[in-house]
Amino acid sequence: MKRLALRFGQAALVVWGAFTVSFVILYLIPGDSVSVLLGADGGTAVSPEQEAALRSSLGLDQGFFERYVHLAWQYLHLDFGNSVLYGARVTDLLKNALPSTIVLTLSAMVLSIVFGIAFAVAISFRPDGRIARTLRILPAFGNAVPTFWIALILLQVFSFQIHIFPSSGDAQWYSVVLPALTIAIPYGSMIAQVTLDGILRARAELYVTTAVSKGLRPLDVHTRHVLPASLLPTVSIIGLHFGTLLAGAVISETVYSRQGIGSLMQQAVVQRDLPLVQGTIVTTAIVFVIVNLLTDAVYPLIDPRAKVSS
Amino acid sequence: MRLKKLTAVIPIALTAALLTACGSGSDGAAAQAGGTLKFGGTVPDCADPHQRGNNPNSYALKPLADSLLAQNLKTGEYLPWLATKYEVSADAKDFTFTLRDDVTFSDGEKLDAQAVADNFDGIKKLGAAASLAIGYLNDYQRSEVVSPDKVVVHFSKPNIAFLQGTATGNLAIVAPKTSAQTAEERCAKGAIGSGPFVVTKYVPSETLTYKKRKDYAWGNPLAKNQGAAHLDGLEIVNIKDTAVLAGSLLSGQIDAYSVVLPQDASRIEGAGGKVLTTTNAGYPVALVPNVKGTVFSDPAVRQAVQIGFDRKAAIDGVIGDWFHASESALSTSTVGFKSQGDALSYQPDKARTLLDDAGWKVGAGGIREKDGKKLSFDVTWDSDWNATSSVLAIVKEQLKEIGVELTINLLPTGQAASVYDSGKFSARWVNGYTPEPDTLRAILSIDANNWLERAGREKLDDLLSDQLQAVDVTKRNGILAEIQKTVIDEGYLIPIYDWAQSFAVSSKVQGAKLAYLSGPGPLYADISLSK
Repeated sequence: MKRLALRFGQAALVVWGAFTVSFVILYLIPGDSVSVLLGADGGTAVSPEQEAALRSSLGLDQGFFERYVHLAWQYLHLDFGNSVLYGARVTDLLKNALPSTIVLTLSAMVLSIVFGIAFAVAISFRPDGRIARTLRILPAFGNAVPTFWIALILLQVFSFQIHIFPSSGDAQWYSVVLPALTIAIPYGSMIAQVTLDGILRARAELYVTTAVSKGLRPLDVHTRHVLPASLLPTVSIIGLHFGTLLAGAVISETVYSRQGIGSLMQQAVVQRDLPLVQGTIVTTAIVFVIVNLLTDAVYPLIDPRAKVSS
Repeated sequence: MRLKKLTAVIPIALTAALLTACGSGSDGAAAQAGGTLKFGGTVPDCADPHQRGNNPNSYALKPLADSLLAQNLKTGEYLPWLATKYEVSADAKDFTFTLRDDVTFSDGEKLDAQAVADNFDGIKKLGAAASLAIGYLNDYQRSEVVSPDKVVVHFSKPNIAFLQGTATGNLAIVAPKTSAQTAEERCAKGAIGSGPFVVTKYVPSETLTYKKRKDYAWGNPLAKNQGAAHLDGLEIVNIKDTAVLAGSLLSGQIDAYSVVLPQDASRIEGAGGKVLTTTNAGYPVALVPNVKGTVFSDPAVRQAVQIGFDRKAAIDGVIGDWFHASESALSTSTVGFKSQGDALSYQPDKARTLLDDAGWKVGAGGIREKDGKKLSFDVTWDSDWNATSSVLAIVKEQLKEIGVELTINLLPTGQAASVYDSGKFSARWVNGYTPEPDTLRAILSIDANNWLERAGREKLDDLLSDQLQAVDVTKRNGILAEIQKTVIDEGYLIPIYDWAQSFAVSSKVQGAKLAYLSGPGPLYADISLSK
């Protein structure tokens, strides 16, 4: 119970940290929503007085502490304020964007886990074969290639050349395939790498040698002894690198013009829409923290050793 | 004071003649009706033409509203649109508009003088939030409703530039219901207008769809089709990534998009599509030197830089061939443009002599120096598009030849304004957004934004304020010519190339035409889709 309270305390600290750090960074970089807005129109026609009036009406003329305290107070009351850009409530915008991002990240996650683990298992049967050795380069490759590049290649092939998937939006259910694949390739590659590593390591363990020598079929050795032991690092990597998934969503949603948390955040950062940036960051921080708590909870289920040590 | 009423009433008959002339550039066969044009681009974060009037937004919002006047693209002459007639007082302070009596907004409300008055009051209230629109309403006093179809717009100082404003989308006329809303409501709900299309669904930055208004009968005089649009509807397909636009057009997922990259133009044309282009009016893409405490305080440096690089060579092959090297302080399509081509031709030897005579001697690394100060300047800005920094890189190389060092200071979006305010920069990289030549006054005059940071009043400032008072077109063009000459000769604006719009359409799209003076974007009512 005490441990649980501690974990929640840590989680709250992480969320508060994300809130504060993003606020400080956004406050420190020069320029604000008004300068972005006027800059986009050449900034020619507006007098300094008119500019100041707009800034004041948006509450952008407040000092650092005044704004921070004001915003933090709002957040404590679960009021994320209003977006400077849209005028709408940040919570409404988030509510609008969240389902699309959940569908995208979950699809990407399922794709990465299924294909990542399947890939690792497939190769692990003959890890030193010529084909396997060539294939083992793939995860490293998938992990190293920039996400936007993967997106453009997928678009070129599956949308522009073979017209299977649309290039933008989320009007049809299958619109999610390319964006999810874009994120799943690097994320799944990482999972494949770690799982393969875990399998090979587990296989060198004595209890596996024992299982083999007592005459178990290779498939049984794999499913009963090797996989459960090797999945632990995979589970932690899924939790730890959940951020990669969200970062992928920012790029994927932008390239495929999907309206989700990622593209909302990207827009908010570009337009210096402070309340909206804060809102998206805090929301993702909360999601991130929950996923990590869940990962912690799953640990003992997979590996009884984790239960004992805790 | 007695106002000498008007030199500038447009008789309807003349208009009819002009209309016929405009309509003669036909596409041959009668336009097919029906279909929805899918336009790839960015769905605006705010659907109010008064608050969002720059290039991409104008393309997306143009279908919903009309303006009081339109402007002949060749002569700059004003044509009646929602207003059948206009009058300007001799002191350019009072503008009278007589309105059509058959126009309704899409919510059923009738267009009348009060609705027009509400528009200008509304923009004044929006202030800087309507940053392009407010530029036409300097010294706006009030709008007086004389009768249901007659409104007089009063200014406390002369403002002839207002007239061209009424012919742009920035001062498009919206319904009284919209004028009464707050800035945020106008953004989020979308403006109601009298345009050929009506918004059917709008989600900021996500979805924007239109259907045609069947009872529309007051088309833009520049359009061939004065009645209801040929298309059934329009859809702005939200595509933010420029790399995705061309592929989407070529694979038939969209029918049109704007801002074409040069490398995509030939692919589109090869597939039977078209790339329509037109030069924007206003000041060109240019450098504006800061004369306070930088090397540009020396006129010889400004003049040497002005002729020290080859404008054509800087843009050829780098940006699309629809962009042209600048010839003056205003783009070639601006009303009142006067070429200063000779003063802008590439003369490196003359530039070197100018600098030698001013005491700038070639020092270490080939860069000139004077009193221990290097002849070096930075160009600071923050909103890059695909190739501006490449153009600047070529200018940099060329200037090096005459012993001038240019450093490129491209900041992240939104950060330039604070650097400009601090004064710690040598030159701005700017691009005009307003077609009216008065835009030069807004940026250069010591009475306005004074981007040059000049300390004392000069003849130029008087000229800039005089042009705003000149009701007579010939007289005004004379003053504008003098302004352009002074600005170029003094090196107050170092123009590089004239900004141009580009609009790519697939082979299915017929009848598209760009009309730069009335704001970026095509005349949607003319467009049709072949089956």
